Amino acid sequence: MSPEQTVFKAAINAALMNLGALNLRFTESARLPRWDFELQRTGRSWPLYLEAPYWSLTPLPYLHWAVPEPVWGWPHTGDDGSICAFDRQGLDYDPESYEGILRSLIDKSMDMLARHHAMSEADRMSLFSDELDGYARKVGIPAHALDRPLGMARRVPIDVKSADKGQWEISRINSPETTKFTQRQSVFVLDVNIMDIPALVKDPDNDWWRQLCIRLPERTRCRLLKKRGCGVILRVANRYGGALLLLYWGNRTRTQDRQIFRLEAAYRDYLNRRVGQSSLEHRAAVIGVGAVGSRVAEHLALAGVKHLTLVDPDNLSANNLGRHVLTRDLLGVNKAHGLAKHLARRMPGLDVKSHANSMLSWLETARPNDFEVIVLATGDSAGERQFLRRAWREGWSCRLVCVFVESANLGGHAIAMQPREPGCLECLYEMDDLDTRGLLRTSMLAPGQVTSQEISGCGAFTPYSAITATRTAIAAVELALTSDDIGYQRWAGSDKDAVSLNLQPSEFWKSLHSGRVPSFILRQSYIHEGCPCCRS
Amino acid sequence: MADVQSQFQEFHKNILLDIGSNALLRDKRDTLLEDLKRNIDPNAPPYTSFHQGSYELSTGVIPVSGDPDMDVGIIFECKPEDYKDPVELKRFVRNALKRHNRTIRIRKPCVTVEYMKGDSRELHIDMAIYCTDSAGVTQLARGRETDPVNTEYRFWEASEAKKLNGIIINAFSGKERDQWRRVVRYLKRWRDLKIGHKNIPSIALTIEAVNRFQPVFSSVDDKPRDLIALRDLLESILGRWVGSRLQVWLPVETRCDLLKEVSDIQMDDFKARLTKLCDALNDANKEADSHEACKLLKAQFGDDFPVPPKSSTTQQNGGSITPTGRSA
Repeated sequence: MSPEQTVFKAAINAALMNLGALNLRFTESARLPRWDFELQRTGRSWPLYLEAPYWSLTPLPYLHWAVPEPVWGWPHTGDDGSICAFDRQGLDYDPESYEGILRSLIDKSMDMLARHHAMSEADRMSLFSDELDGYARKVGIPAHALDRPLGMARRVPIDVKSADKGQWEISRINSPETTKFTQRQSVFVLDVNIMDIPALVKDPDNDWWRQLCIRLPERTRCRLLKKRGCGVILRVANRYGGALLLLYWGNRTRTQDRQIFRLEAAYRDYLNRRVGQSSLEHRAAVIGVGAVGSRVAEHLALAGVKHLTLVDPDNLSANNLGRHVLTRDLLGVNKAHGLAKHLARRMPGLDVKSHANSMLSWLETARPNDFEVIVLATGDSAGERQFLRRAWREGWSCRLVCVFVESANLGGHAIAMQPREPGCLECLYEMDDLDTRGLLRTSMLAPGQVTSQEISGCGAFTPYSAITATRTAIAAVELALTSDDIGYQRWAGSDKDAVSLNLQPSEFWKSLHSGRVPSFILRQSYIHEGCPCCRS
Repeated sequence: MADVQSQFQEFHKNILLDIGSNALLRDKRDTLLEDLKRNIDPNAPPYTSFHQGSYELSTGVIPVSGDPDMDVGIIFECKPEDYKDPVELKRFVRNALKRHNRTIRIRKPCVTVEYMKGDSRELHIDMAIYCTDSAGVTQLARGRETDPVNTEYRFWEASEAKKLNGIIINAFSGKERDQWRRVVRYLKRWRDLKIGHKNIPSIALTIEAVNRFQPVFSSVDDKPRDLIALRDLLESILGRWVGSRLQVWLPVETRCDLLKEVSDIQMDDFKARLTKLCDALNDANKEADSHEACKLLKAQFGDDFPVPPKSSTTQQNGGSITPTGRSA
């Protein structure tokens, strides 16, 4: 034991004694310090132990209930007796305030144990069923993703692919589409009560199966014994809609081929709730899915948008990999198609369509008013201005957002607009000053400089990083989805890269970078009476 | 609303008078100071010179009538009690500068050097003569040679021109100071055109602008909005009238009201004209067409204010192809 470990052991000993630990014994096995002790609470003596794997109280250790394992049916208590007193989200404490930490841990754990001890078994099991998935995870039962909610279905498809020794490996569960090189099988959904389930184990043996069959109601038991299909999903009722366990045997019936899995929801509505946001019924289109547009699309999908349309005529090339969302396996694939495929995997349940068209050719068949928002991320200023003028001429109802970055990571812009109403991208162009007429007033590069670079002889490119693309894309997504006032978001980065490329930032960049002008302004502040787009 | 900032900037270029842009004034000043150094009476106390007035403050405007001027301060290293008659020091200067091509007059507040072209004055340089009292306050030599000796007409008057320069120059900095200087120049040119007497001195307008000016820049692109800044300044000044008068106090010795010489009738006229200017600025600001807006402004600021041709004002953006460096 090192000097630090000796000090730690003494400090924990003293803290536990101060907190009323009786029969305190310290042991160290496999270099793990462990304190066994008893505590008097609610009129009875509780056998407990504490382990601190790293000779420290960070991460926060569990207090264990020292009873024969596996512990089953006790809410917030793992099979090894570990009491989950804190959910370990957002905790903060002084890591060396040993007695304070242990007091909180013991008080909360003991309060929980005592409360559950006072419940009837039915109530306790009902509460426990809410945490069945967490218990199964702690036991070590592996998980598979559930691509769609089960709903009222009694039978759901699973896609499997062959693995070693004639075994099947599960690929997708309840997916709306089939994938290549998989075979589609089906499993039945059985609704069961927590009381019908034997204590979960990682590798269920024959005895466990027998126990399960004995406990299940007869009708359900028959289904299980007939082994129709390739497995069953046990849906254990709880207040979250049911904990799901997949018992899978494929096309084999031998006991050793039976496997148990947890099912984790991996569909849009659940995932949105899981990150604390609501699903949006929005229909959004992203035109241009390069470095910026691909991130706009990705964040729209992650923000909960339900229907996404992607438009881009270009194919992914190796040159794009440095800052595009897509990966090497999609080289040569149209960016819109590739991104659609990527996002369908990224956010299961997202309705994503793709078109290998340019902005204007897409418009020939598209109906802009079918969308709540269209994001223009083409990097083609002239084309986007033409697009916007048409939007105002035809009085579209959708919100429009233009997004673009500045060369050399000087910054980025996102401008939200509402056709039929004043305040558009063109209002930001100089119209009065003869010297700068036709230039964007808020350009971050001093006028007249050519910024495109050549490093391989294979084509010019504009230098900017994936970070610049991402930061700008997020600004665009916020403007696309917010219901608040419409306006213009811009941000200024460093001029370090511009300096190294001998590029001169504009006066506006200096003002934005130094905070002289706000990064967000409402459109009312830049409406131009003579604007050829929104005021003509 | 039309954006007429570029026209204001052009107007500013048209009226701007500074030492850098006026080689003639600069040469004359250098020659005068050189002559003074070479020819001054050896019995005169040592001295230093400094700029004062609009050159130092960068608020000079080309006078409508021609005859630009420059103010130079000469501080002698002596005390008022060393020269009970301040005109003695003025004589040292006058005598050192006498030449055939210039006229030198000892006036009450200064020594004026005039350069003639034909029958008319081409330009003049005013040299204010100072010394410093034992309390460190600079004292201005006042009095003419024609004033009786040993009378109250020849006296030393506390005057802290150098300190005043510091107060004014340091009131604003950077882009705000540039805008402040432009606005003061607009106001001075307007005064030259619209006020038919000399009782509204430049220093009164300058001090009032130091006290009341608020810089105005666009929240969109941080470009200056001189029209709004000038309009706001005028509204602030007009709101300071007490009864029938506006008082502007000098922030250094002698701490006098710089508008005390203005008669009540002149003050009423000044206010009416300021109000008219303010109204014109508001009207121009509301005008959608910059051609029309500039016509309103030209009526106030004179022919140096440019009016863009009708065709180039509210037309569409320029048609040339420009590299932008933007991408997505």
